[in-house]
Amino acid sequence: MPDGQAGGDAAHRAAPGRGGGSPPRRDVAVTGMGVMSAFGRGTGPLLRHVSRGTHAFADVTRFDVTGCRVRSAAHAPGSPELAGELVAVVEDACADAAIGPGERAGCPLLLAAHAEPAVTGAAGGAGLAAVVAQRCGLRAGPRIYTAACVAASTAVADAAAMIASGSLDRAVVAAGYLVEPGNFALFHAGRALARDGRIRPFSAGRQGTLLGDGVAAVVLAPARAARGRGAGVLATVAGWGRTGDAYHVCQPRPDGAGLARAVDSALRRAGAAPAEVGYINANGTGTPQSDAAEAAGLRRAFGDLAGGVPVSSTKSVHGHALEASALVELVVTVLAMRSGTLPVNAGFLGADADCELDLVLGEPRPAQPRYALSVNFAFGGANTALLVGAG
Amino acid sequence: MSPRPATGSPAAEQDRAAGRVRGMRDVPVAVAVPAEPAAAPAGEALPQDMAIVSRASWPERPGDTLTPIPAFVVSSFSPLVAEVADRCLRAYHGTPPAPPARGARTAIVLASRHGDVGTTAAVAQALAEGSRVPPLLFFQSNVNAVVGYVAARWGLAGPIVCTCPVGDLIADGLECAALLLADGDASEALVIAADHGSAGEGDSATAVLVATGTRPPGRHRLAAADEPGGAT
Repeated sequence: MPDGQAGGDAAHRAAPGRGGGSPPRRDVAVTGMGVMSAFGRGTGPLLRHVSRGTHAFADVTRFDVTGCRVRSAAHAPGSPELAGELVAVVEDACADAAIGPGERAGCPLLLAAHAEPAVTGAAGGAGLAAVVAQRCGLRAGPRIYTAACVAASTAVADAAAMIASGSLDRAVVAAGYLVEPGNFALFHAGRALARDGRIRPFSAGRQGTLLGDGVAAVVLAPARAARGRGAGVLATVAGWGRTGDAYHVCQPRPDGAGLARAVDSALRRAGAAPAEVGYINANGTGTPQSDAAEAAGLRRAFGDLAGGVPVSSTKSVHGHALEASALVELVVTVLAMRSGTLPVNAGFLGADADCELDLVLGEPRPAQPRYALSVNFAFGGANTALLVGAG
Repeated sequence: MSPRPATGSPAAEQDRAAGRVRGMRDVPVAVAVPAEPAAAPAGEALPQDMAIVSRASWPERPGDTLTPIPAFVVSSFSPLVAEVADRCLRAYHGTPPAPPARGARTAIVLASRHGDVGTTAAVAQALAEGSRVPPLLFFQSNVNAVVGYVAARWGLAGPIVCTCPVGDLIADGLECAALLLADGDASEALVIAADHGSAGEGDSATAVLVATGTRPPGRHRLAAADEPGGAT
């Protein structure tokens, strides 16, 4: 895809609601990635497992779950420290993007994480961001993003918007969640965890979600500049959309209208047609009403095409990483596009009439999509859609 | 840790109505306020094409109180956010909801120092005592929840952004709003800065409604909000 700095293609990429006087927008590239999950550090193990649909759910050993009806999560061995894992994935992403120490000083770190010190350490989320930025030689961002399951995609959208408009030349977006007692207890108390110990997105008989470790980082930069310096462009963040449902404290709109508007916005921003989308990494938490609402939203966004767009939720393999989930899933989406293999929607038991989608079942599906979507939604009715373009 | 399901008993319903959770430390929703309202935080100059059209704060006066929100318990954080949002929106739109065409493109930005510390403290206390975590805390456990309450009440369907800024809360919230408006997914943004302590003491909040371009006709522009940074 050509760089949007050329005036000729600027008009169809102008942000929704902006007039013809909008400045040309730059294409945004993903130039580096790093990830840690229940499968360990690195993109390789994660790609292998999401491709095959082999999950990481097991009884929690990191802390005491005696007496809990549900004891499952997808976590790595031991008790890794969040700051250390964030530093590791940021270093991996920067190495992937060939960003040397001298180039890091002016590059901001935009971090998505839990706000509360009980989860992120004594200094809280902002303190965590400062520690990670300092240890990686980056500039600490002005804030951390905390909007639950869309926290990381919101950070990506902010970074992409600034890079596209020319107000920022590079950003590292990172996010992290490691399974811990507080959120496990909250999700357990809210009866949100799957009693059968599996996440079964869009499946008949799905019972809920499960938590999972997820720590990820991506380097974002203008595509033209990245190509000019010889750095690889792994993919582009071609479009992004964010909306609210205006519906409920914690339930999504059953008709998926808010999610559909987010998808529309991402497509419009990229100047892409629905028919060009060849894969959707869905939010798919395995929660009965949320998956049905998401399916309705995707059908609403894609209309008659909805039945032909492959969909999977890789939470079925790596679990729900809360504030980090959207970034882990963005990384998975980029990996899938580059590997030419669409991940399996694992845990599927049978069709649910409320979730009629073209799910990737059983075996990974070979595909070379031009665009893929990573969609997420969260408490409060927050929706995001990130449109990923082939690199 | 041995969480148990909600009972739905009459006692539980009474607790819910009264804004408390049985077995937990009861924290009043209407909290003590300082003798003088908190000074408006220092802000930054607004972008040229963004204007503040409404502003509110909590507390507005000594003895100011918060209105409880059904099913939100223990912590004053969510009532604080909802109250200041309501005041700001009422000053501009009157009674809820906002006009649909406006609400559809109004974003909400919530900036707080550490999120809902009161709810986090209640969860930590339950874990430390080995008692069950009250189920209602799950539904308010992320700050998005109260934003959803405000959005549903007022019909605000733009993007939702929740942050913990390093610096000044309202200034950073305005920066987020400016980016959203410039990027095009919203034409207006309700920016809420909530300064919240675990016990509710010393809580304060500011809300401003910002819009792109010139203000819509027929609306009174608040004098206090006329000056760039005046609401901050």
